[in-house]
Order: sequence, then structure tokens, then C-alpha cells
Amino acid sequence: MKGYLLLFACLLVSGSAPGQRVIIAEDLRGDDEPRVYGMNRTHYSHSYLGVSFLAGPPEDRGAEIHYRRSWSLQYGYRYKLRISNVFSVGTELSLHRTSYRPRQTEYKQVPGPAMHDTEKLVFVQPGLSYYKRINFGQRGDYIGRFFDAGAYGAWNVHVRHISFDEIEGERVKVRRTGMDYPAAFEYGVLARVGFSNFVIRGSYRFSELFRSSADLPEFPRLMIGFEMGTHPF
Amino acid sequence: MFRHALFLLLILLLSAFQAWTRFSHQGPDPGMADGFWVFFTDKQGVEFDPHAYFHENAIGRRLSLGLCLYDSLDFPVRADYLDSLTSLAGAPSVVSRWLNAAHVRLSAGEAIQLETLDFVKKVIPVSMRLIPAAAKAEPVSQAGFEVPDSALLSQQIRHMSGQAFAAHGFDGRSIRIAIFDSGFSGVEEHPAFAHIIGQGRIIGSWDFHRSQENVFTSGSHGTMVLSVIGGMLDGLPMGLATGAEFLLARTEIFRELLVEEKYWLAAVEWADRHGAHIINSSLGYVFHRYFPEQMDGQTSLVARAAHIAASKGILIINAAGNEGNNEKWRIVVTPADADSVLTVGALSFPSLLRAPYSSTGPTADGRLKPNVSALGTVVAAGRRGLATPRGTSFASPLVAGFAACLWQMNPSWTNMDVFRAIERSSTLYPYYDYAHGVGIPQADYFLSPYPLVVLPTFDIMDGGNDTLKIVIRQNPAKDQNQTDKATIHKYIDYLYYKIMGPDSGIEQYFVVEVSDANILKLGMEQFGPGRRLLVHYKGYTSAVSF
Repeated sequence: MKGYLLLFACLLVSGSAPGQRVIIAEDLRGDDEPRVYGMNRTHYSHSYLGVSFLAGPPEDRGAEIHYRRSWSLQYGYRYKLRISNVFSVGTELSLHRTSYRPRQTEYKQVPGPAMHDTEKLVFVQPGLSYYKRINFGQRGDYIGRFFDAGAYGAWNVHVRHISFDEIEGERVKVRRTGMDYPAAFEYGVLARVGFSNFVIRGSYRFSELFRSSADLPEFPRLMIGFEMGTHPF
Repeated sequence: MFRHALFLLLILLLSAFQAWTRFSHQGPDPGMADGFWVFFTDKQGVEFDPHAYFHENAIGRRLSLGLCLYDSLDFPVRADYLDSLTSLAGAPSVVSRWLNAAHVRLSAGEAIQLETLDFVKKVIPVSMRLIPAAAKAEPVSQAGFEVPDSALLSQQIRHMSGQAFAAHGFDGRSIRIAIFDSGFSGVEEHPAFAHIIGQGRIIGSWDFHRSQENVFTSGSHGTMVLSVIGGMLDGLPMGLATGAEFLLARTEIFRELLVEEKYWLAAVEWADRHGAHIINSSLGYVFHRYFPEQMDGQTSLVARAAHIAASKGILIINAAGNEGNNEKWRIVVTPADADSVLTVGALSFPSLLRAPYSSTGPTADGRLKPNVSALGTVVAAGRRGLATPRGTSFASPLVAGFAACLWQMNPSWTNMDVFRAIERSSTLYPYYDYAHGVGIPQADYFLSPYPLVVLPTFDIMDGGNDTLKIVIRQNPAKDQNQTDKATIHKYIDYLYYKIMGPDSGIEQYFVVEVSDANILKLGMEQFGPGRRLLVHYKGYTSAVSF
């Protein structure tokens, strides 16, 4: 139903006396066109925000991290194609900013053995993913409860290494880019469980974070976090 | 290398899964819901004594409609079937005689197994969680016991000329109204209900969520609804049915939380059994469960149950829903979509035009909804003190009170007689649109001392240059022993018009404020062959066909 007040009505009511005010004007023509866009219709898309934390063990003691301070922020745009009330498939474009905080231990190897007061490796990654969705429960035009399984790929478009040290009483920040050890791409699998806007997500990185020529042990591959869809509840 | 291979394998598995989902699930979805209705094949051999089961009101209703007291719909579900179901799937949370079904929690596999049993007709997955339309009611402003808006309190009675009922001694006495809502906390203590409590007119109550009689512990949406039907403040009525009896059913948990449709189904059978004449339901189910194109009055279980209740003589009055601003939905919710339900839209105060949140019609199959309208902003009794809530939830009980008085006035009428009379009395009747239905019910229509006449209030004439002109008549003449319908509509000074398509559906509708006799000039180019223009002003409707 198209509700269009005043403007259309003023045009339609041609020549009406001055001061006559159209308060309600509704046009129902075309209302019966089938709807294909909606949360549980053929097509739907929405953006989301997410945050994930690294989990699981590193490959080697030399790649230990601070778990609470190693995390990833995600912003993405998700498209969903409905196959049935239960099954959907979809794809999404996303931008990740993932920060790894290596522990400063005597075993440390990543990105190098040099110890700092604090240190982080930041990956900025535009990515693309593909997923299958299973929905639970009979529902109308509503996201409802779901489980997603999929795969993702991302381009490590920008990687920087930042270290902080206290030198002669002064805090010194060193920022490096253009390193030769980060891999160009990342890929892995992902899974999500959600209820409407609220999603718990997990991903597992299959690819190596560092080039094989660098001979560096891998940071933990598992990430667990949550997302918030920006669509209506 | 192993990780790369594993990744490729997972991608292949995902692709295979897609192919499977694409080709193996084109039909109905497999039962993955956590709740299922299990429908049974028959009721053979059950015993049923209507006089033991029903309240005398329920028997009276059936007899007045000429219905058989031994309707198999009312027979109990077979105990052996329920025992078998309980042993296989656990105790059902709701058993429906009318549907001959039980609601249980099952896994999808168990549901498929159950369907193979001889006594099971079908198993239907249902979502356990739904959001009532009342959840989107406009904000409630709380006040003390001082009336927050005395003009509003007066208007919530007078806009239906409800004072005429009181003046003639009609207050809904002997009419039993069931209210389905989210909780009635404060009812036992609030002074607005002292007359109801004091006279023992809360006949029964049941909390369907907690399976207990006490409905006064949580939630006050029902408290507000009850007050708008039959509350009184210092001798001033808040609703019209201050003398009615009440059945209070708590069928939703909180206004803002997810609830279950099954309780509505259970409550409607409970209300029938306990002799309700009228059910006021300020609830409705929307997109969490259904699509707008399913609002055809046939699809939802609650709409089907409403039809059964209506066929047994109960007048069901339901809020239209508060989805008017929701571009994804806009239309009435279910069970307000059922044609045997009197659906009430909400009006703004003081304009008496559709409140923006009020759901509109038509239904998915093109029927008129809402049927009538009433104020959606009211003075109501909150848990403590008074409030001025907004929503179709509060328009519906105003009409429920009206219906109780009308039924008391005409005790031999059936539910559908009351339904049609309410429509007939309304301000716009026989005109209607999808925002207001046929307008606001009017008690004066039934209680006017003189015969009611409809005098022309405007003329449709040729405006020249392919236009039509509508001109308001000044002071139409009438006999002194007649009541002009226009005088009933003293609060409404709008001109309504609509353009009907060749298929008799409304294509466009308008409301225009009247401040000049030369109210409208319409270009003829918009009226193609087969179209009709219908115009309404102060009780008088005129049409032009093209």
C-alpha cells in the first residue's frame, strides 16, 4: 500500500477550494504485486557488526598470544537467497581488522624473537564468504533461529607490525609495514548459530598466516565471537 | 598440505549440501520446529455430558442458535490417544477439543514416527514463540490516581455516544466477557475495579502459561484493558460495561516477550466452556509466524479457532494490530483477519482519524478490515494509578463494552446480530474504508427517541471542464420528530471519499477536512469505465458510477 499524504492528494484534488486539507490519501493499486524481498522471502540482505577473539592453542610455544587482547572486528554486508523455509544460501562481503598480540616470552618466535613491552600484528582484510543456512521453526517473514556453515577467503591487503618499548624513560612506538612474511591471502571455514539479530560465530583458518619461506609457527587458528545484524528484530 | 585438502573437501561437502537442499526440499518443509500439533483421527467412543461440562450460559448460547448440545467438536480428545502420545512423546502442554489435537515437543524424527501411527491424522510443526501485536503498543504514560486527561476520559465514552447506554440503564449486566491478555496485576487492589471485585463479578481466571488460577501476579496490560471495558473512577465510567461479568485469561507472558499461540487456542475453548458471550482479545500474531499474504482468515490456527467460537455464538472482538507503520506488514494481524471476528482499529485523539500505528485492511483475500474503529488513546487503570496508553489493544475493549451493553439491550440477539448491528450503527455506515472500517459505533443509533433519517448533506455536480464538484449543503431540513443521522456524528467533520475499481475493491480512498462548502473538485480523467466514486459526509453516502 502506498501511503502518500498531501502532495499527491493536492495534485489529484485539482482545483479544490483553498483551505481544503486532505488528511488521509491511500492508493492500493499495485498492492498485490508478489513480494520477493524480505527476511524470509527470496532475497534479503543486511549489514552486520561483529567481534571475535582468538581461541585454541597456537601451533608452537613460539606463537603464544594474549587471548583477551587478540581480537578481530568485522563489518560486513550479507546476502541471503531463500531456497525453502528451512534452507537458504548466501554470500557476504566483509572487512576485518584482526589484531594479534604475541606474548613476550623467552620462546617467542613471531614475528621475531625480539622482545618488546607490547607488540601487535594487525591484519586488515577485505573478504568474501559463502554459506548455507538451516532455519529452525515455522515462521513468517522473520529471520528466526538458524545455523550457518560456510567458507571464507580474505585478502591481507594491509599488514602492520607495531611495537611499544620504554627507552630511556620514553615510550617509543615503532610501526612497520611492507614486511615480507605475511601471506597474501587467508581462507577457512565458518559456522554461526543465531536468533534474529544475535549471532554467535566461529571460524577456523585453514591457510597459513605467514609465508612458508618465513618459517614461523602459526598463531591459533580458531576464532569465536558474536555478531549483531543491523536488520529489524 | 593436509589442511588445504581438508578445506577443499569441506567446500565440496558444502556444494553437495546445496545440491541436496535445492532438489530434495521443494515441497513442505521437514519438521524442524520444537513444537508440534498432533491431530488425531477420531473421537469414537468418548463420553460427553454437556450439562456437566458447560456453564449454563454456554448451553443457552447454543440453544439460542439452534445448535445441538452434542457437537463432536466439544467432545473430549480420546484418553487412550493422549495416553499413547504421552508415553511416546511426553505429556502435551495443550489439548484442544475443537482441533482434536495436542501440542507436544518433539524432535523431527519423532514427529515422522508419530505420523505413521493409526490414530494420528497429521503432525504439523509450529513455532513455539510468537510476538503479540500488543507488543508494539505505543508508550504508556503513568500517572497517579489523578485523572491525567479528563477530556480524554470523557471522550472515550462520548465518541461512541456511550452515555446513552448508561442513561438507559445498560451497563453490560448479565453479559460475560472473557479477556485474553498478558496479566492483570493490580486488579484486586485498584479502586477502578472495586465495584467488580466487591460484587464478585470476576467469575473465573486462568493463567495458561503457569497453569494456575492466579492471573494477578504479573503484567498489567490486561489490567488496562479490563479498565477500559468496565472500570470506574469516582463514579465515572472508563468503559461502558461497568456491570458485566468477567473471565480473565492470561495467554501471553509479557507484552514485550515472545509467547505462544497455543494458549490463545486453549483459552478460547475455556471461555466457551465458562459461558462467555464476548471475547476481547487485544492480541494478534504477525510476521514472526506468518506472512501478510496469509492474513486471509483461514490460514492461522487462531483464525480457525475464532471461526469455531463464532459458530458457537461467541462474539470475538480483536484489536486490528499495531502494524500500521510497519511497511513490511501494515495490514491487520491474525485472528483479526477472520471474517467472524469484529476487528477494531484505533483512532487518534482528538482527531478521531486512524492512528498511524493502527493496522489497515484489506485482508489478503480482499475483505474489509478493520470492521469498526474506536479511540486508541485512553485513560486506563495501570498497576498503580492511572495511565494513558495507546494502541489498538485499547480500542478493542471500548467496543467490547459497547457490545455488552447492546447485547444486554437485545438479549435475544445472536453474536452475529450484535456484530452486524454494531457495524450498522457506525458513523460511516454503509460507507467504509480500510483505515476506519465503517467508523465508530454509536449508541444513539439504538436509543434515539425518534426515527433515524439520513438527509443529504452534500451534492455531487458537474464542475465543468471534465470535473466533478462536491458541495456541502447547509443545514439540511428535517422533521422535528426525526433524528438526523448527521447529528449523531457531531464529532466528525470530515468528508470521506473513495474510488472503487471494476472488481468492486477500493483503489484509492481519502479523507478531507471540511472548512468550506465547495469541498472538492475532481478531474474526470481518473474515473475509467467500471469505476465508482463513493462520497460520505455526516451519515450520508452517495455514489456515482462511470
